[in-house]
Amino acid sequence: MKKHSVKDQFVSLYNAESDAIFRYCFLRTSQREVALDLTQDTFMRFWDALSNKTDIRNHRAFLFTVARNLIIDWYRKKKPQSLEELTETEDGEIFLPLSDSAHTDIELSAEARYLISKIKNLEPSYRQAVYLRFVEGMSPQEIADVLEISVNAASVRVHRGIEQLRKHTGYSE
Amino acid sequence: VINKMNQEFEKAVKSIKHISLKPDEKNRLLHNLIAYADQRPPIRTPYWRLIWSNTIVRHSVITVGIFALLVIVSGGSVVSAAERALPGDFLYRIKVSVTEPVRLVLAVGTSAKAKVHAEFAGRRLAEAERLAASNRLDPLRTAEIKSRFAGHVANFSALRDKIPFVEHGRGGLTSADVKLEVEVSAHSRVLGKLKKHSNQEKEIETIESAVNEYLNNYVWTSRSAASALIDESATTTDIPVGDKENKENDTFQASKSILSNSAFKKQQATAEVKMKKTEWSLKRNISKDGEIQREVLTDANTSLNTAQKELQRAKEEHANGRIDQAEESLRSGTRALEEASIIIKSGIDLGKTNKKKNK
Repeated sequence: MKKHSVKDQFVSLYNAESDAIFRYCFLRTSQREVALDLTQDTFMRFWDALSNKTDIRNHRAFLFTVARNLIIDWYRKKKPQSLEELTETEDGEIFLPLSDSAHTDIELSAEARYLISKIKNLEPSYRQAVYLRFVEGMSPQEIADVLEISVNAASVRVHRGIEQLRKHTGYSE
Repeated sequence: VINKMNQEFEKAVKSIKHISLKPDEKNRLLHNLIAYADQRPPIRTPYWRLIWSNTIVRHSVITVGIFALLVIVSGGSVVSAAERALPGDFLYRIKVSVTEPVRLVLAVGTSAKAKVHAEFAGRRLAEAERLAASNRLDPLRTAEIKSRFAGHVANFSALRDKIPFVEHGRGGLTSADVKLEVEVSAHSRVLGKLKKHSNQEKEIETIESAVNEYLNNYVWTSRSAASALIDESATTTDIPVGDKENKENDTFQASKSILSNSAFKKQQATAEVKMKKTEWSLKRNISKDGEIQREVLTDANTSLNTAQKELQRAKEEHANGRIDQAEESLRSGTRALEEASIIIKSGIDLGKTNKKKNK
């Protein structure tokens, strides 16, 4: 079987994951151009890692981790008051906000807007876990890699986040 | 309730997934990224790591390393003892997993490797002969020989398909084909003789039928297809001059070309020297004790007589200027000679095995 070059691998991963990375950035920055820049930067870092033969266990989780760190950097570089938008837990972990204004830019169904607002109202530590599980369909292992926590902690956050989401949406038994 | 929630959420997720790059944005980003990637090419893996990552190379180096270690530690005695080992013997694993793979590694070129596999296929049959002569050809050993023979034939067939067109002779035959034919034909004759003299007629028949089945499935079918293809293109295929010169020195050359005068004489001289050696070996061993050995060697004598006649005819035809016929006779003579020498070797081995058994 013909062995694919690093560049072929890069392009095929770009085609498969660029939309998800863009969506992740867009929902957190609410600016299309910024999201585009962050997506491009994410893939540039990814190329650097690939071309330096960095050992990457899961390409998808790696991309989301890079995107997450770039979004945090972007918030830090923005005006000081925007730092307040970042939510920080007691142990210093940073959670990214889901922007309300993002979905005014594009057409979203009522259900989508409702879900985003409900996720936004979740406890900060559950938001990203629930988003990555529900919207991006990630496994607990992938979520753990992106959020840099243990697999067990990722599973607990997803589970508790869904429980909370049920309560907030009135589907709790 | 949960189902309803899931349905609602599914709809919402679908809608959220509509947030994506527009086609022109996606293309623009890809364009930028490719330009970025071109400026920063991947670091090159050191050449030795690339070579080492090749499984065949790694396997070959390890095999040769083990072989060298065995030779150094035992002074070559283990390796030479392993060469005579039979299935079920302790040293047989060393023979098939170390010494034989080393032969394969050292054979350069597709044709040479195919010939080594043909020779190993013959070796497996020789092992069956020796086991049958000492009544040790049980179902387990029969199965091992069958499976290893099948492996050699399959490898031979795969390599044979890769032999370049210019090395195919009349009827699409390659020198490797001739080698396999000679090995199988010689050992089939020895097995046939053994059937009468050993109590293992059934086991020998199992081996014989397996040999025919594998050869039919793998070799003859693919060869007839290849020969049809070659016959069609025979008129248009040119043989490069340098290549032709190299092939002329090959004893097993199933050549379609007319040999140069010097090449013909060289082949003839080689065949005559081999003839003398084989005759001497036959004379020295045919009078020895042992019924099987005598019978097998008598059979070899028939092949040797054929070889002698053919070589004489080749000489005469060449002197009369009938080059085509001379070449044909030389080829048949060389082939019969090779068959005779394989049978003689088997006969001597069987004699030794029998002696051991009687002791």
